[in-house]
Amino acid sequence: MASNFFQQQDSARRKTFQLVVYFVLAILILIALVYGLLLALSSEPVSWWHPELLLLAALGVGLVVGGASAFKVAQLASGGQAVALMMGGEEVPGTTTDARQKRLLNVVEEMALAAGVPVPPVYVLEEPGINAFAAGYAPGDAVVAVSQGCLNYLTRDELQGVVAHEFSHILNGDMRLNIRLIGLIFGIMALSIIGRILMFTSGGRSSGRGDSRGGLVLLGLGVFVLGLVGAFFGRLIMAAVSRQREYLADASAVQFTRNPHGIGGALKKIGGLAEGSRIDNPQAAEAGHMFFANAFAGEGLAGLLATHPPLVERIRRLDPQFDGQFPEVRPVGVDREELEGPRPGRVPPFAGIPRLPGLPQVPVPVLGFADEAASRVGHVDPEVISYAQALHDGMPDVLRVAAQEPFSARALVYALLLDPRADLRDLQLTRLKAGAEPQDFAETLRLVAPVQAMPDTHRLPLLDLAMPALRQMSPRQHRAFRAQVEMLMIADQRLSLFEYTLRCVLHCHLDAQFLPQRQTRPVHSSPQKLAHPVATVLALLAWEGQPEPDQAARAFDTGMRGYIGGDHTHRLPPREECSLAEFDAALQTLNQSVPAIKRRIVVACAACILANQQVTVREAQLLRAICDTLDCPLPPLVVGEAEGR
Amino acid sequence: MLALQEELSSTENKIAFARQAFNDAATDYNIRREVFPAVKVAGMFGFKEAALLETAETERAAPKVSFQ
Repeated sequence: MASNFFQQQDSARRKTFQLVVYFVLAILILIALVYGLLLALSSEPVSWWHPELLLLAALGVGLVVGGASAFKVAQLASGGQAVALMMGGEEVPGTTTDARQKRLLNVVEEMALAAGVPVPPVYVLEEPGINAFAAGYAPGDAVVAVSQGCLNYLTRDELQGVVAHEFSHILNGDMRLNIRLIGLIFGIMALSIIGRILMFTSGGRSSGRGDSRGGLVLLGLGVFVLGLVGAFFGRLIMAAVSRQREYLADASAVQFTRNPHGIGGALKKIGGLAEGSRIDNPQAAEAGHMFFANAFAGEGLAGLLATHPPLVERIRRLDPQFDGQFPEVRPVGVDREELEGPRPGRVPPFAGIPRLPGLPQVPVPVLGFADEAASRVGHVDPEVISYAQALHDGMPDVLRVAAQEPFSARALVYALLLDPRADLRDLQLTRLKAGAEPQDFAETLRLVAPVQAMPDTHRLPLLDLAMPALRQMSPRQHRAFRAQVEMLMIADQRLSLFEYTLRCVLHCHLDAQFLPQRQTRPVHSSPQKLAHPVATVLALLAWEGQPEPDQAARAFDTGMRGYIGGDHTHRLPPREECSLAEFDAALQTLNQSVPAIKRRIVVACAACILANQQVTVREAQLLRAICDTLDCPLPPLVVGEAEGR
Repeated sequence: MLALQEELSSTENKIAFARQAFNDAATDYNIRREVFPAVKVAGMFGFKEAALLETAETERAAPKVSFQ
């Protein structure tokens, strides 16, 4: 027995490779047999070498098997979400208040980090047994689903093990491998169907010219039998592949969690539970290969056809001391287990394995915002909390509820972007109707009135409220959503301040989750060289804060002094010369500066805003855009009496 | 309170797992770097050994949580 989970992974990978080679061999043998069949039935004088006949056999088999399997793969390669829904799964919303579900979400996020794949959507199946599956053709559209039994009976560590096992399937592309093998088996099956068609169509009219017709019937019969036998062996090989992938996933789960007792405990509980790992949903029959453990009762007859290795054997590989006695299983209370307090770090891996260096033994403290960009940044004081509470309470219920559901949150953003002017709004709505999902459009119409009635101060906070729900979109929904948002923004041919801020917020908090972010290295470290872009940013900020030129100049001066730290030679440019486009370009430059400079920039902006002792809505929105673009979080500024527009 | 416990232990785990994933990848790279075909190329093009992330003693203390 391999004592190391890395060795176990290597061995499972090697065996998978062997099996796939067998599969390819099987198809080659099939071609050879069909060739032999053609040879035997041809009336030509017997010779062992007919290149054209071999070519015919290879082409025929290749076309049928290839074409049919491509068809089946295309049919099966739908996103993971479709599969999860088909199995009766229900998505766990990010806003869930159920302690068990929240824990599940956390565990999935942890394992995504450990496996290094994007966090997939999570589904719960209403099944009493302990089981789980991962589905999806590529890591990007994968989903993870666990049964309700998992949530009820497993401890946090065991749940972690089960989820880690599923992540191994995602990471190693097992779903793709499975789907391809199913496709190939289907292709071989198609061969036997062709054989049957050949048999019957020519058999029916065989009274005509005897010999060649009879040959065709024989050929059909031969191909029919070959296809059936081939498909049977294909299934055997596929089941063997599937069992190897399970071992691989078990070993990877130990690598990810560094804790063989988590997944081992979960497997033992499956053995001890009356429901076991059974899945009752009839749709599961087609998808047995995807589950964590055998989805159907009776591993008996088809040990060779079973998609999963026997439970005891799996546990023995994880825990060599296992005596074959399954424990009695009781539901786990979320509270009791949680009350045991923070766990003392990761349990050491198998005895005898050298520990990898660098793994923390004890909990690492939660670090605050590492480089506090300004005294307010990353710091929430009670005054702000009560302000936030007031904001939250002051928001109409219909909007607050809408912000928590993924699809109404989308509609909410659309509604926020609708122009107050009727003609423009009609234009936007027409385009939205053409581009967005019908139910999104209907929901938008419902939300227009309350959104427009809401004070401007509430607009950005509402967007923040909607953010968790927006993050639940699938990548495809996200693309469609962003396209609609851009369309709504440019409908009036100009970018308003709120639209600009909204775009910054979405870019910083939403797109980061869906699109790979390019890490930019800070290139600017000298404050003096950045004075010009800072002046551009402060100029717009100053003009947005106060319409009077002298006051604006004073605010600009305060900001610049704060940035340079003394006298400076910059003057406030006239109002007409400050545009959002230049502001944006300046911000992008500033974003490439080192954190220490970003801190000075945020301080300077705050000083500029506070120069006249009040904060307007537009100033607050601009500051939000600045902070988001520079990646510095900032709590909402408390808006003073003057809510100038 | 319980929710906070969960959040704290989950955050700790996330940090630990991120570090672990990095170290696993770095170890994998280091091993490959020293195995036959790659070791020649690595030497020629100057692929350096990757450093593992270590936890400083001071960072290992559990965070203090108190409810007044």
